[in-house]
Amino acid sequence: MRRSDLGEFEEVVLLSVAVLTPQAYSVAIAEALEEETGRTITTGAVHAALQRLENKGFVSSQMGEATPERGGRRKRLFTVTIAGSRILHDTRAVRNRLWDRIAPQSLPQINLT
Amino acid sequence: MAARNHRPNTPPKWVDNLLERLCDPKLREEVLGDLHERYHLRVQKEGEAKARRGYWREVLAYIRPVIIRRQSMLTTKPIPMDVLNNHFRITFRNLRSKKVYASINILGLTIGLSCCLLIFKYVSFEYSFDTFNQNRSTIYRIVQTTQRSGEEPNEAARTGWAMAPVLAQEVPEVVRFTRLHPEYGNAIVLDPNQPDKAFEEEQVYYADSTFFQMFSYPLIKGNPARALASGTVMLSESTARKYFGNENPLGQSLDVKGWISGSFRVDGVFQDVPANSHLQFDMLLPMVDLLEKSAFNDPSTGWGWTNFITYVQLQKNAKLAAVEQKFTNILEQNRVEDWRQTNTTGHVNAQPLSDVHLNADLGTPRVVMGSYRVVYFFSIIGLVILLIALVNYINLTTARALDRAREVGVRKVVGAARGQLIIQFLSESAFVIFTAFVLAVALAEVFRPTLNELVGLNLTNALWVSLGFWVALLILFLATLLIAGLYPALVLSSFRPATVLKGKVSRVASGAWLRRGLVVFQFTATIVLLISITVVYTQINHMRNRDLGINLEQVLTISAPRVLPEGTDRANAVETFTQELRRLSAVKQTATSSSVPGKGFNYYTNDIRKAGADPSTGIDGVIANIDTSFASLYGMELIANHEFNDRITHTAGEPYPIIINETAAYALGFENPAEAIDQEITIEGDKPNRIVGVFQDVNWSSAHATRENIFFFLGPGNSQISVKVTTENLPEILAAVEELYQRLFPGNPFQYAFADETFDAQYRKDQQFAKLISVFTVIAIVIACLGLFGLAAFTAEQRTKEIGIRKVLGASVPSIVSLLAKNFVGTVVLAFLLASPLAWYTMHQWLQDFSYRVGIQWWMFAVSGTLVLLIALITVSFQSIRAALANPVDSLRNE
Repeated sequence: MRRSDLGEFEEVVLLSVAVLTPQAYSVAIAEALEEETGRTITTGAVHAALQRLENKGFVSSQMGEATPERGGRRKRLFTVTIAGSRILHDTRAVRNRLWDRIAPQSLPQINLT
Repeated sequence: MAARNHRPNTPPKWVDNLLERLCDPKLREEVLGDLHERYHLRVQKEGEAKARRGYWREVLAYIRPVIIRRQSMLTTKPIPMDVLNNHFRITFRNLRSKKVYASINILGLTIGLSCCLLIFKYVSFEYSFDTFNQNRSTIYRIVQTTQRSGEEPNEAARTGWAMAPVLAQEVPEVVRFTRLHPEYGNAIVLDPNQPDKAFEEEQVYYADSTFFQMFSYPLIKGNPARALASGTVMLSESTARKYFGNENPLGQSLDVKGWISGSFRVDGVFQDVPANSHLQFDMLLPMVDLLEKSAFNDPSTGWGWTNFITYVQLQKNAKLAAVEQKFTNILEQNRVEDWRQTNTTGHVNAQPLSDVHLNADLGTPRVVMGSYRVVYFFSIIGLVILLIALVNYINLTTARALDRAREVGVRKVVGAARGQLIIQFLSESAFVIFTAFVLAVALAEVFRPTLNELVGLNLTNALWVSLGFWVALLILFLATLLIAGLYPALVLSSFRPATVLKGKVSRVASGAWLRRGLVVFQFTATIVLLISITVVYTQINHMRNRDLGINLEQVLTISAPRVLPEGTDRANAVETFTQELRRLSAVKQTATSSSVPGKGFNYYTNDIRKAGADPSTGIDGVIANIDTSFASLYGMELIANHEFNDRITHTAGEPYPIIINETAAYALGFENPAEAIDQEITIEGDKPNRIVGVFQDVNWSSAHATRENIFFFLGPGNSQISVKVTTENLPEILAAVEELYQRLFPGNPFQYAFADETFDAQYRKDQQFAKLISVFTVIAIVIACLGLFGLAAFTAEQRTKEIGIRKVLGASVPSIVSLLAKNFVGTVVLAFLLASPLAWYTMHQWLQDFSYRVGIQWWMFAVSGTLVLLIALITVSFQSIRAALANPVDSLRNE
C-alpha cells in the first residue's frame, strides 16, 4: 500500500535530489537544506524521507563511491524517477494556479528583502 | 583503513557500535558512512567539541522504525519469482517421476474429500431447516409432557385445541399463536366442475388464520393477513395447477372430504413449500371450520384430545424459562381434575423452531424427520474418511523423505534457510491438495444425484451455490494443508546437510513408528465400520424375516371409497364390494379394518381399565376396528377358545364385543388370556365392552416399536379392505379388482398396496442407513488399501538390494513374501484388537433403538477381521510377490 501523496519535507528533499543530481545523497541533501532553510537538518531525517520517496517510486538509488571521510564506506546516490518528476511538476502546477488565483492586494503585505 | 581510524575527527567509537547493533545490517554501510561524513564536515565548520555534542542528535535521528526494522524496504522483490518457479518445477518433476505415489496421493485425497463434501452438503441441508422463516428466532413449538406415576413420561409436540388461546391471553410474552391440525390420513378433494377427477391429498393441515403471519411461506396470490377465513382454502402453486390448470384458481371452489367435509373457496396460492421446511403441506384449510364442524365443537375435548400442533411467537427478549413456567401453570390449572383422577403430572416446554426438525422423536405426524444422531454420525464418518486419506498422504510423503534428503542437503548448503524449505514443501503439498480439491468438487457433484437416490434425500442445489460451501471449502483446504502438509514439511526440512550428503540418513526409521501408528488408526476405523455394517445388516435381516404372527403374503390392501352418492350407507357399499370381490376366482378371502399391519394405528388412548376399576388403573392402548374375517385372513391365532365368526353381532343396549391381544390381557391384570374372556372393560370411562376373544401377540409395526396393547372392535365395512389372492397372474387380478372398484365407486381413486411391501416400507430408513454406511465403508477400505499399497511398494523398493542378496544366498520366494508382509499383518491384527471393543460399544448403542434386536456375536468380528486381513494381505502381497520374483541380477547389477 503505497501512499502516493507528497509530504512537505518529502517535497523539499525531492527537489534537493533534483538539484544535487548526480551527487544527491543524504549528507549533501542535509547540508543543502540546512543552508537553504537555516534549520538544523539531520541526515537521519533525510534518510528516512528518501526511503519513503523510494517506496513511493519517486526516486531510485544505487550505491556510489567511498570516501575517506566516510571511513571507506560507500554512499547511496539518488536520482529522481519519471514518477518523481511528474509529481514535482504537478505540485508546482497546483501551487502556481493557486498563486495566480490570489487577487491582488488580498495577501497582507510583507517586506521582501 | 586502520590508519584512518586514528584520525582525530572520528566520532565516538561506542556510539557507532551501538548503532551497528540497532541498525538493519543492509543499511549499516550507508548510515555509518553518512554519519561519519557529516561529523567530518561539522568538525571542519564548527570544531570538534561542537561536532561531538551535535553528533548525538544526528545518531538519535536514525532511531526510527524504518532504519531499525530488519527488512530493508530497499529490496523491492519480496519473493523472487525464480524461486517460486523452481518450487513448481521441482514439484512437477517429483510428481512425474513418482507417478504411482502421486496418483495414490491425489486419488485417495480426492475420494476422501468428495465424501467429506457430500456429507457436508447433507449436514448443512439438515441444519438449514426452517431457516427461511423471518421470525425463526422467536417461534417455538409447544411440547407437552405428561407422566403417570410409575410410568415413563409421555413427551409429544401435541396439545389440545384450547391451550393456545389461553396461553396468548394470559402470558404477555406471547405475540401470536397458530395451531395446526394434520389431516391424519387422506382427504379426498375434487373440483365440482370435474366430478370424475378426485384426488387423495395427504399433505393437508387445518391452520389458524395467523399461520401466514407467523411463518414465511410466500403467497403468490392472496393476502397473508386475511388468509384462512371460514370457508376458504389455500393451495400450493402445484396443487392449484393440478386442479385448475392454467385458470385463475382464486374464487374457484373445491369439495373436500376429510375431518370435515364441505365446499371451500380458493382464497390464496402459496409457493410450493421448500424441501427444508419441517412442515410439508399442499393444502391448508381453516381451523375455525374444523373447530366448529367436527367433534371438537364439544368444549370438553379442548385439553384432552391432543391432536393439535401449537406454535407460539414470543417477544424478542422473552425469558424462555419463565415463559415455560407460566405455560406449565396454565396446563396444570386446566388439567387438574383429570390429572388427580389418573395420578398424572405434566409440564410444557417451548421448543425453538431451529430445533424442531432434528428432534424427530416428539411424535408429531407428517413432519419431515431428521435426527441429530444421524447427522452427528455422518459428520464423524466424513471426518474419519478424510483422516484416512490424510494419513495416506502423510505416510507416503514422510516415507519417501529419503528420496528428497539429498535435495534438502544441497539446498541447505547453497544457503536455504529452514523456513524456506518448509515453505517449499508446504507449497508442494498445497499444489497436490489443491488438485485433489478441484477433482473432489467435480466428483462430489457427479455423485450428488446418486446420493439423493440412495438415501432419499433432496439435495437439489449444486454444491457450489451457497457461500457457506466456499467458506467450508477454504477452511477444509487450510486444515488439510496444515494436517497433511506441515508434518512432512517439518520432517523434510530438518535434515542436517552434513549427515545427509554423506548418505548417512538413518533410513526411513525416523517416523516409522508414527507411520505404523497411523496405519493402525486407518485400519481400526475401517474394521469398526465393517463390523458395524455386519451388525446393521444382520439386524435388518432379522427384522424383516422375523415371525410376525401374521401372514402378509398375497394380501392386497385397498382404501375404501370416500366419495359416495348422497344417502349411500358406506358400510353397506363396502360390504357389497367385498361380496363382489369374493366372486372373483382369484380372491380367496376378504376382510375390512380401520388399520392394516405396518401402518400403525389411528387411535391412541390412555384410559382403558376393567369395568368398575379405579381410574388410576387405566392403561394405554390402541384401538382399531376389524370385521370378523380379519383374524383368519391374516392368520392370527385366537388363543381363547371362543368361536369367532359372523355370528358375533352387536345388539343394541348390550356391551360391544371386543378382542384384545395377550399383552393387553396381562396389562389389564388378568392372570392368563383365558381369564379375560367375557370380562368387561371400559375405554375412557365410556360404556363397558365385552372381551370376546384374545389373540396371540403379533408384530403389527416395525421392530423399532414396542408392543402395544391392542383393542379391536368388531364391525363390518371399515376404511381398509384386505384381499387375499392366489399367486397366479397378479396383473390380471389387479386389473379385475380395479375394474370392479371403479364400477362400484366412480370418482374414487383406486389406491392399493401389497401388505408385505407396506410392512417392509417401515424399514426404508434403516435400509438407507445401511446402504449409506456400506458405501462409506467400502470407500474407507479402498482409501486405506491405497495407502497400504503405496507403503508396501515403497518398502519393497527400499529393500530391493536386500531381497536380491537374500535370493542369491538361496531364500525362497514365499520366505521373502512373508518377510515383507509380516509387518503389515501385525499392524492389521493390532488394529483389529483396538477396533473390536470400539465397534462393540458403538453397535450396542445403535441397537438400543430397536425393541427387537439381534445379539452382537463373535462371528461378526471374526468375519470383519478376516476380511480386512485378507484385503490387506492381497494388497501387500501384490507388491511383495513382485519384489520377490524379480531377478536378483537386475537389482544387484548396478552399484
